[in-house]
Amino acid sequence: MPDVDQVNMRKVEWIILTEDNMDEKIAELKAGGAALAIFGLTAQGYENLGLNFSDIRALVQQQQQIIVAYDNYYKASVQALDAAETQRLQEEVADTVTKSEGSKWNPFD
Amino acid sequence: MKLSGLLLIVIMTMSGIGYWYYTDTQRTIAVLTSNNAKLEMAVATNEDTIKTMAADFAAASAELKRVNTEFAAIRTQNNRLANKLADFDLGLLAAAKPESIERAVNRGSANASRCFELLSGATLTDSEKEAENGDKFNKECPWLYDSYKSRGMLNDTPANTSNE
Repeated sequence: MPDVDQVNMRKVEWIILTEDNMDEKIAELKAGGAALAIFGLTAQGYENLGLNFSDIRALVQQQQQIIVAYDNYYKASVQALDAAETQRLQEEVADTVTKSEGSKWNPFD
Repeated sequence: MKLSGLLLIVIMTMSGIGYWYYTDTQRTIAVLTSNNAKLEMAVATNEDTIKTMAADFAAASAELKRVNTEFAAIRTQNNRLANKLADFDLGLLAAAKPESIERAVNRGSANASRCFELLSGATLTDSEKEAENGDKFNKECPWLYDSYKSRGMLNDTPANTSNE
């Protein structure tokens, strides 16, 4: 199976605005020349976003573990089936040899 | 003369019966031997199947146990951030020290993003390879350090101390 595509996360920059630094920060943002629009989060909203991110990361890790488990299980099953098939063929060969050895003692065969 | 002729007929008849009996018995023995061999083969196949199924079940059980252990570890890791956030009032801290909290959340976000890149199989940077412990590797997913270390993907001797 192919590996998953590697992700390159884009940079996200947080700006903290308080009553004290708001004018200064807004002036800095305006100085860049772009139209001013702030997508705001409260502290609780930021915490929730972080926790959601953490949950998704845990989900990815759990999915990876399940894939590893299936992979290990599949490899072990194939190995066990191959071993059983080899043993069955060996027993068949041994049985054929025994039969042919037994028939040579029959003078009428 | 008559007696010897009669005796010859009796001997020939007895020989014929003996031959027939012998060949018939041999044929029966051959059939029984063949049946016995087939049964032995069937028993052996069944035993092999049982062994394979038992091995299969053991492998599945071992994997299930391993996955449950990993899941428990992942849940504990996932609680790290919640526990960390519960220790302080982020809003209050940000209002008091906006610059330092801004740096901290930007660093945390970059680290968290890097965790996703690593989970997708990204190549390690030099500083990650030379990390001495999980926290220096990545504070948001320090547990990945042990995984990389066990796979021999980290430098044993940090480059910045090798020339000392």
